[in-house]
Amino acid sequence: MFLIPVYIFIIWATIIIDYFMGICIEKGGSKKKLYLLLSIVANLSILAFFKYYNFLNENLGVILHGVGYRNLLPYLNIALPIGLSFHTFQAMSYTIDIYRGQQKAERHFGIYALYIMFFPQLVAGPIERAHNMLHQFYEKHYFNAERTISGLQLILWGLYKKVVVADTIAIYVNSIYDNPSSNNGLTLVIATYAFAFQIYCDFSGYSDIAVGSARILGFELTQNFRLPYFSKSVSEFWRRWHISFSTWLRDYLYIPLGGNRSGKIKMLRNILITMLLGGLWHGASWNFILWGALNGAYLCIEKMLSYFGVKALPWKLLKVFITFNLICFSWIFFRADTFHNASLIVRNIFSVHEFFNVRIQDVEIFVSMLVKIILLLAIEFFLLRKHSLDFSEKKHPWIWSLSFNTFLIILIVVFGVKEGTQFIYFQF
Amino acid sequence: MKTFAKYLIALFCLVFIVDKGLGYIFNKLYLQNRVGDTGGKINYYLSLQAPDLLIMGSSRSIYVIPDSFNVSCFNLGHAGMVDDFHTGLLHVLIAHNKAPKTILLQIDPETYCSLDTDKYEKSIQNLLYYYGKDELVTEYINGISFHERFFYLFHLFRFNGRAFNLIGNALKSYRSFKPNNGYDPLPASPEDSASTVNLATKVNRDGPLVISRMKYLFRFIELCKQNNIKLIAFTSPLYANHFQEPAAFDSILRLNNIPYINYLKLGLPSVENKPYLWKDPVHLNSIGATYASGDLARRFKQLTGVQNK
Repeated sequence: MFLIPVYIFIIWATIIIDYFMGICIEKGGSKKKLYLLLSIVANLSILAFFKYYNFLNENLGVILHGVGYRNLLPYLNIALPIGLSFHTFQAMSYTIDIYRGQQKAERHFGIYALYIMFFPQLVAGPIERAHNMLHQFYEKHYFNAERTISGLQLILWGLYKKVVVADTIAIYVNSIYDNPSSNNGLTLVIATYAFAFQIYCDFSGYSDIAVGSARILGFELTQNFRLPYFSKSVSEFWRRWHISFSTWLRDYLYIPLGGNRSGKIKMLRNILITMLLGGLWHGASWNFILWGALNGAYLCIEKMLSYFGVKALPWKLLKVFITFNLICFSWIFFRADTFHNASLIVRNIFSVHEFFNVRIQDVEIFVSMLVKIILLLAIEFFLLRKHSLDFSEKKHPWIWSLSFNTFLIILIVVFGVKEGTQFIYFQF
Repeated sequence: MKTFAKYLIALFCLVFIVDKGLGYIFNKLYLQNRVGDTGGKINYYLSLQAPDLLIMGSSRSIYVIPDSFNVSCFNLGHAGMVDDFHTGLLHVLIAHNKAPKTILLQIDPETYCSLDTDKYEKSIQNLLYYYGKDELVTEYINGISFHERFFYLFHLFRFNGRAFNLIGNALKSYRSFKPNNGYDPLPASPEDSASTVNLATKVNRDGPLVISRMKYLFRFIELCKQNNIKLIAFTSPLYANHFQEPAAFDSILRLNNIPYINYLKLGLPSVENKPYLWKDPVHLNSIGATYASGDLARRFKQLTGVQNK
């Protein structure tokens, strides 16, 4: 990650364009569609240039080479501005909502700029809607001890997920995924399961820190995760994973494409397009496209099965297990460095040769990873499902809260990985 | 605000108490450790009488069999560690009056040539237990970055990332510890021999000699001189010997009157290109260790005049 001061002008450019376009759309009458189009083109052009130019150029080169031509477009050595995908989508939702009449254009430039640049969620979301945030910037905020403590607790919980769980798992997963040809069978399966928890803890950990920081300041952000790996179907998974993004895709892509209103075939097409673009949003690589396509295919199959009257499996646990495995399979394409490595991993997983020959390089790291995942699941289960850690309803809420926060601080100090990795979603 | 201030004070006090309490328990557990690279081996060495000869260095020194030398000898090599760690460790040994008469220090010349600026200045963190206890270790850790010192406000941070190791090694120390001389043989296996051939690549230096990166080595030399410790440097052989260290490196050691047994230059035909003697292309297995240790002991004798076994 580099600090490139000139990149501040990119975000300012989108803020200025969308601020004025928002007002124009509201006033626009017959031209409001044109203004919306201008806003979308401006936002997507910036995103396309920084995120997809080299990818498109590279693929164009392959195609041209295939037909005997040379690609003369240069490769650009540019870094992706941090959080670009997130604030671009946030800005687009604002102008689209105004166009639809669901949101009034913000007249106060500073408030609008704050909405786009609100620091806790600027870098990696949650992707907030204007109707959830703008009114909060007008409200008076007073210091509230209970809210501050709750925010602090969320930050600590997010830190635990990131520096204790995700960064420990990363050591193990990297050692396996960096050498896909030397690993096979169960080793790769375990590493893929581990990666599922790594990415969950990494991303939801960031979201918790963002929500917690905002809460301390008096603002409420959208909840981005709700125990996604306890989902009983892939569609349920997408209602619980990166919620602000999946609802964005639903509201601004899937429904405008026709959603499920134009027949079964078109609905399946819409699902596939939505998930493909959702995959592409994550990064300019065929792996992400394939990851999106796989999830799209899962959703289509689920829809088709329900159409053909196939009843859902009766056992909740089995459904959770199958869903988890399907999602894990798609994570292979998300995590592998190249398409070649992803296919190698898939091939090696399904190779019978030495399937049960599990390679654990460092037993201590492996044990530590397992213990931390078990602790995570236990706390998440009580925190979110059972609400047992909602101390406000307990007899001595402060004592509970103090004990829990002390417990988290000690866990972070003792088990935190100091030389950890950057948040995975910072690259998007 | 008042309520929150009270909460913060209570949280601070509770964390302080738990940190001190658990820190005390972890400290006891740490001192019980007699095995492992997270302090156990150092503890065990500190419990012994200082030997005549001490082997120090990275994983490329742990093959050296102390019994090959005809003097009391201990192998205190630590896998993955470089000069900042060894210098910090020597300072700890001196502070505990456990300095040996002679040190055989394994050095990897490529670490002074790499363009990776901070890769070789963070292994001191493996001596984090000695933060605040040893002046030089504290200085080196503080030197990593400004905010480093804040982590150590927690007593427990001295055991960061080691809780499972501490418990595991304490159990091993209690159940199956046997007195030893620090040598931990790497068992030979046909799989390792095969992968050695596959993995054999050059150990490339990826840049010119960076003198400033030798500051920890210079400090090590200085510590040896101040404490009348004879220092002999050596560089272990490789499976396929391609690397040539910069000529300046040799001269720097010579200028400091440090004898240097450099197998990259001398070669060691008894182990080179013999896959069954290697764990991987840079680490000898227990069979290869006997050949290489024997040769090292012979050269050590030539340099010091000590009669070998």
